[in-house]
Amino acid sequence: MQRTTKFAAGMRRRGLTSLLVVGVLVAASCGGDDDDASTDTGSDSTTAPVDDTTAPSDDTTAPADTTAPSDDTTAPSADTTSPSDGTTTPEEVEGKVTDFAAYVGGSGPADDSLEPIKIGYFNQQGGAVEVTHTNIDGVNEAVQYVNEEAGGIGGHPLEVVTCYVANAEEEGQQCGQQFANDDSIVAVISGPTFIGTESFYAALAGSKPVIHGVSVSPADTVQETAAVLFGGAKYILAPYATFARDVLGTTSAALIYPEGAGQDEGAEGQASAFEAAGIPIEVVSYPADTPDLTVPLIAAGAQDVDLVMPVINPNDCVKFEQAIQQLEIPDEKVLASPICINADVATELGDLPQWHYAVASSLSIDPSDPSVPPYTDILTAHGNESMIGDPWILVGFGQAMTLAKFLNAVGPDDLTPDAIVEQLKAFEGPLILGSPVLDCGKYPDAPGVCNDYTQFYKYNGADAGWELAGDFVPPPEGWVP
Amino acid sequence: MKDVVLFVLLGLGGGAVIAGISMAVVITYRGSGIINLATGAIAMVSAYGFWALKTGYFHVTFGTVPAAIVTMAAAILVGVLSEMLVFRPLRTSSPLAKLVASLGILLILQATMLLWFGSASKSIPSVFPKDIVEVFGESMPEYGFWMAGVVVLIALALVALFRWTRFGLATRAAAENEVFGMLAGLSPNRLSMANTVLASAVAGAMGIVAAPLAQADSTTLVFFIVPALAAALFAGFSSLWIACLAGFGIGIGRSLMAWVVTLDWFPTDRGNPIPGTQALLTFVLLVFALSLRGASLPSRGELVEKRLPFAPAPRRLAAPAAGLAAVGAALLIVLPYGYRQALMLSLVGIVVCLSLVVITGFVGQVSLAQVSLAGASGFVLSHMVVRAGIGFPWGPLIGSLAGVVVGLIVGISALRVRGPSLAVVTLAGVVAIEQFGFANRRWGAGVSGSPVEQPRLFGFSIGSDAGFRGLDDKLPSPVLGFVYLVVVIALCLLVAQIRRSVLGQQMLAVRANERAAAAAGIHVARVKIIAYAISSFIAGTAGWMYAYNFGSVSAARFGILIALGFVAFAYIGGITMVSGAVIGGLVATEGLVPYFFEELLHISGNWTLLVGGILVIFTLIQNPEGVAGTTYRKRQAAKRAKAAAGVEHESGRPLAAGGDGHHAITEVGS
Repeated sequence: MQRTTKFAAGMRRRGLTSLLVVGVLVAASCGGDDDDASTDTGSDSTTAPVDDTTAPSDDTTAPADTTAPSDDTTAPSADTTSPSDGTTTPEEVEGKVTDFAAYVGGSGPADDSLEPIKIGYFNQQGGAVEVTHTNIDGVNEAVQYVNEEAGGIGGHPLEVVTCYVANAEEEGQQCGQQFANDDSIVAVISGPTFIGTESFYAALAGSKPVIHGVSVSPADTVQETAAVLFGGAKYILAPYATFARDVLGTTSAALIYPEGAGQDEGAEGQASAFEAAGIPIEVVSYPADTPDLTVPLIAAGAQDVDLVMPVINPNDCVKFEQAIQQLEIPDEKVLASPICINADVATELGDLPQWHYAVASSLSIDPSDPSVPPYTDILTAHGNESMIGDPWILVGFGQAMTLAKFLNAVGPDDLTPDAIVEQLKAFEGPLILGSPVLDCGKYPDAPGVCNDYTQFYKYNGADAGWELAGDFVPPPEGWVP
Repeated sequence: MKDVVLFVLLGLGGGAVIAGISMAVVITYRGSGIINLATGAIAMVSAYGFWALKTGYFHVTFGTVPAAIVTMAAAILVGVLSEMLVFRPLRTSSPLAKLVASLGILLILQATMLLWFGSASKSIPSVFPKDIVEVFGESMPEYGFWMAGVVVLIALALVALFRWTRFGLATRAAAENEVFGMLAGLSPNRLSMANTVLASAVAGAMGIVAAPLAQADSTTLVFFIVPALAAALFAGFSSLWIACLAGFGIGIGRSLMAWVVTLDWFPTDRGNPIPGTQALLTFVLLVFALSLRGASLPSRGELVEKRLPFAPAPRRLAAPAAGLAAVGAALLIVLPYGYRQALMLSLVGIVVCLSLVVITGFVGQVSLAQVSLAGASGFVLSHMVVRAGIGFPWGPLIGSLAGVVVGLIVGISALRVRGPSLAVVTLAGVVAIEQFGFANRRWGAGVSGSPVEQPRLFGFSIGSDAGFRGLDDKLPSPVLGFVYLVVVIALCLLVAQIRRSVLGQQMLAVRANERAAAAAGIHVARVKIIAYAISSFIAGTAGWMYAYNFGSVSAARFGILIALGFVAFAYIGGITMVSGAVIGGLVATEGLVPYFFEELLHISGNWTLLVGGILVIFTLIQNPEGVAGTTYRKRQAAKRAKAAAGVEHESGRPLAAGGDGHHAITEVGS
């Protein structure tokens, strides 16, 4: 069950930029409707310690009773893990995609003489606030791979057209119009945005399918023509409650989040999931410009509960950790999203905080995950080894690869929005570098949501590295978003 | 009770930063009469500088004391440059022009830091111990006490400086009456510079003092200006002690509010704490303070009486309206879709600027809340469409009326408030309405927004998705632009007609001197309320136009920077003239002019902020009365020169320069 990697050792080898190294990949088996894909469904690969890793002693893995048998944490019974339609099985949970070209549905180089198939890319970056500006790098890596090794889209090269929101809602509208007015663009990949999102969709008017990785805006999840592959915030935060109850044995929790920064929906979902799991939780919001997070933490009773959870933006990660230290709250009491796993945080704090982290995908520095080596090999072959650890690059890679899969399934001559949407709605996983189980449309009020499974890691510092604390689990039973 | 004490103590740190920035604001105002919105931005620059020097960002690592000294020097340099390059050239301009200029400085500093250091926040090395103290069994950091102590010491030093030194006496004298100060041999420019240096040093110190609880980023310290302005207003922009205490009070109040929202009886928003309670608290405290002090708030004695630019009555209406209609309709059809969209945004911007022309240009009420009124309208429309199925034209009409209702509430509350006080209280109101009202998912739309269906009339779409797509056959449809054009022309005519009417003259009389207006038989309160109602209706109209334009409404659309931005656009265009509103709309965010330059220069993101800030300042210095005002003056001067030449030619004798025509215009418009 315990799986560790020498995160810090890798850091030293690769330099500081490698501090990004943490992935949000999803274990996925190549089953389902993807008959061509090679699969590796061996459960050992996801749970067994890795030979070359420093296995932590039990006492570094949180309480002994939290390292529950794999059956309890990684392959829950159908009653507790499956959506109501019972599509999830333990075997699927253990699935991994290992043959990326087969996943896309082609092989060899694309034919440059053919007309390129264009896809749009939309993100919030280049302004005062951004969730990520590296997501596009993952998209480009995938496009390069598809064009060089996966046969393009039925032989046609794939091409990306970018449009960004920096600071203004107007820019979201401009991007929507740009894509809507360009008939050569068949679909759009989107990064996480919370400025201009609604106006983007209004301008797009459903004319192009939109493929998300991780969404921070409810506007994404309610779109009929969108697919949030790795998960909308509310839905992948909810499994925290399952993990806290079943693995950590949490009896009380505190959650803080900033107002007006796109986090309220996620906080709401997480809080309601804890209530569904029978864990009392105190939720405190703070104005986005609040400098001192000790105040909301104390107000939430963070010093007295078992588990403290920040639902925050990247810019708050450092001050959250500082506040935690100021209040002498142990790092292992913190359960956070991977949004704080980035080089800036590691640089500012000297290392990443030793929290529990929830990731709705694989961890890209975890070679025991069979999905990871093919991914790292591709980036290395492209001369971009420094990108390996960035979770947003990994997510972007997964988005573009999956869109390419849909486009190939439809065929380059039949690429209509309806046909692509039909593919994405029918896709049940496994998702490359993502969740093993997808169910787009599971939540009627959020038809764009495809995933609500999350897995958990514990970072044990530079020497001990990362440790798998809990495999993919869904929200607690009875949870209503 | 112990919780109350605990959170009071926890609020000391944040309160100290607010108090420090607030004192810097007061010093600047006393020294030069400027409400410097960039004061928090100077603290931000200091925070970045201290971080960079301490962490070896510039390849040299400084110790704490040298880093602090260099950082303070940099903050002072920023202040000196602001004074020399921006505020001194605008010395004889209206306070609103200076306020807008300070917004330009804020944008420049913010963009510079983002371009230099990136958007990731930096952890500022703390200059205080990181020890923990136990209070009622709860651990709390010690730094709050240190920060409070340092700020109190700064306050003591400042009070002593202003009370017992010749510099302080001179500053106070000039602040009381600049004319007498001049007669006593005091130089307003030198006093202004000295106080700017002092204020910059205090603000810079806050960037270092705030280290334990703030990060170096582009927003946190910058927007401390809002509670700091509130504290300064409590102090009447004159008392450092009161500003300091009010700053601590606001900080403590915000801390207490963080605790209060966790109490069982406190209402929630879908289980989450109601957002915006702290901003609402600041606003309510401010309104309370103003209700106590009201008109007794002192204004600064000035050497040069600075009024808003003159407001000439337009003589011809039909021809300009027809021209605008013809040109606008043609452009909507022939322009490529990007420019078409930019033109539609400009049309909406014109409407927002028109509302400012009425309330600020005609009546002199510096209300920054116009975008909030627009927001009220937009959100009402969204709820009408989504929940009640009420669309065009009743939904927009109800939206505009909602804007009037909110505007009247603001107006009636602000009857006794004017000048900088009104600007500050409405600024706090914008933040409160955005965070407490619009960001609330129940009665607002949350952050991401709420959808608004495109308008339909008699079963046909008249929105951006209408069938007619212009020459390029692309979205958005010009049809929505035609609707906007009709609305804009109608409102331009309305505002122009108001200026030409008796009501317009009464408004200008109120703007010039309320007491004199009252003595002349004008019901000042009635005129103000009518002006608020009209401008609110216009702002509300802009709100539903935005909603239809974006197909959604969101809280961010109606936030503080948008509000300040529109005041800047309106002032640059010419805040007292209809033609100024047209120019303001053209230069509004992503309007026709910015879009043209973005396409031409290929700039975006933070570069746009930087260039925008520089252009705001440059345009203000070149056109202190706005582009329309300057153009009007030049045209009048040319006419006078031509007329004088004609008379000279007929009579054979020269006429004195600066004919009566100019004064006549000024008297009518002032």
